[in-house]
Amino acid sequence: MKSISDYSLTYHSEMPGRFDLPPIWKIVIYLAAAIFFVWSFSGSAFSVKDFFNGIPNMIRLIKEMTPPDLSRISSISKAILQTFQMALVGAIIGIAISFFLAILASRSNTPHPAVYSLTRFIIAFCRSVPDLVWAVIFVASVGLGAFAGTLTIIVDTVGFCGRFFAEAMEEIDHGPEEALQTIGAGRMAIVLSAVVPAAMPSFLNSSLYALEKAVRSSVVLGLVGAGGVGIELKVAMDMFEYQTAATIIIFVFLLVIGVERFSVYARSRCM
Amino acid sequence: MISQLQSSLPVIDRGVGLATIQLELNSINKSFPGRENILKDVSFSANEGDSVALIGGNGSGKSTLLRCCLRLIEPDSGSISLLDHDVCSLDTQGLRKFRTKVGLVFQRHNLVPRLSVLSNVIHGAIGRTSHIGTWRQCTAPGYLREEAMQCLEKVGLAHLAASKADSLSGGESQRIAIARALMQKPEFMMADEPVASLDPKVGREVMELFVELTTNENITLLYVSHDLDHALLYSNKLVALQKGQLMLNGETHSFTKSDLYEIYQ
Repeated sequence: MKSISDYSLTYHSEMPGRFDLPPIWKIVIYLAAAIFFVWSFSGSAFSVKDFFNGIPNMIRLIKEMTPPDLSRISSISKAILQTFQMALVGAIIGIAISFFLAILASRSNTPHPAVYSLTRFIIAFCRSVPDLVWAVIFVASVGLGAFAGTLTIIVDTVGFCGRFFAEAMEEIDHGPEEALQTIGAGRMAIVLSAVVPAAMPSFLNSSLYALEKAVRSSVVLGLVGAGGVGIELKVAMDMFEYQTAATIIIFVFLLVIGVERFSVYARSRCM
Repeated sequence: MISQLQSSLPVIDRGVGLATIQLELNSINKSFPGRENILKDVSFSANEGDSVALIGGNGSGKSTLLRCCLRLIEPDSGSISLLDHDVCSLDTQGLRKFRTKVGLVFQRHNLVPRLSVLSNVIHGAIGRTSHIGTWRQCTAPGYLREEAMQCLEKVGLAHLAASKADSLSGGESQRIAIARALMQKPEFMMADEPVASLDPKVGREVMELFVELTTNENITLLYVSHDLDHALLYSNKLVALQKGQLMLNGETHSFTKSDLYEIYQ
């Protein structure tokens, strides 16, 4: 029996090289990016020395945080519940708005290129402004409290889900759409009957990530007065009540982990 | 071989000769950027009740021609008359209304994944009814659900009504696609290589079912096929394209298999 080495491997065409040398302009861009990265260390004040000098302070802080103070557990539980409610309502409303905006912002479903550009701009604007900035704007507009936080989460979710929903609709197999088009279906019927079911796994995935993101955001929003447990954490830290702060951090940890576990479970059931 | 197969076919009487013209193409031309003459001066016609096989090599313009007939692709010039509609002059609303009368079965089935078989079949009625609930079987009116079950029974797959479309085999998917096309209640049926992705046995079963159903409903059929036996067996009229040009156009019985082979040379 012949082994593979017994076969003569002869060919007359030129074999392509394993690696292609990139053009000069690409090399210049890579080098410039590398130099900028190195320079960014000074801009970010990155210091290994300061990090190690800070370790004793971290240890002292952790010591002062233990054992966690459970005396205010009732008010902290209420704040945590409000945080989750803000996240849930904000994320669900944001997801619903994203769904309609994404239809207009996907190339294959938009009624007009101008509508596409406008909705893409709205989504990009919602996404590019950080959530804390939105929170400050809404606190100034509707006052301190959970409503400002909920509005912030809605806008933040629209920025996140709007983009991913639109991309999901563009990336699906367009065969079923063509089939319904030949049947004489209108654009809306095609979107509801063919596009949405095909993009649904991606919608669910993005929505669950949006909920996780909303829960994490809603914790921080309280720092600027937009409701939730964040304000409790800020007050505890400002008053040097580190044991109370530890309790709040544990509750936040449990909330975030709980939502993440639910998200993983829901994804495994739906995909 | 062909005569053996023909003897086992269902009785197909298309009553050719008594009917009026349903499809008439005159000098259809189509080019794409970088690809000239995908269709060059193509003209042929089909009568009511005909079964027309459209053959040709890869890139000969068969699929483009079908899509031009429904204006999924706009022809550059020429005229298309289908079911008494001047297809090229229809406005958006008129085009949608016209398309509801023409069924098109694709090679890749194009069923909506994740939806049930029943929902997919009900989609066939989207164009002809104004009912908003046709996008899912759970929201569709009762009479459409019943019609869809009838269509599923016609293709022998009523027992799969609740199954998900993406859980079906290739042959089952194509039968469901045929049921969806029947749900349209079309007056004209087109098929773009409907059995190309199926094994020969299943392909033949699906083709026989397809031809039998269109014959029973007296629906004119125009189908693209790479299988010369299928082209000779299931049609009474045969049209062949080569590099966008019409090479054969006539009664199927006037061609032999070797005539058809020459198209692929």
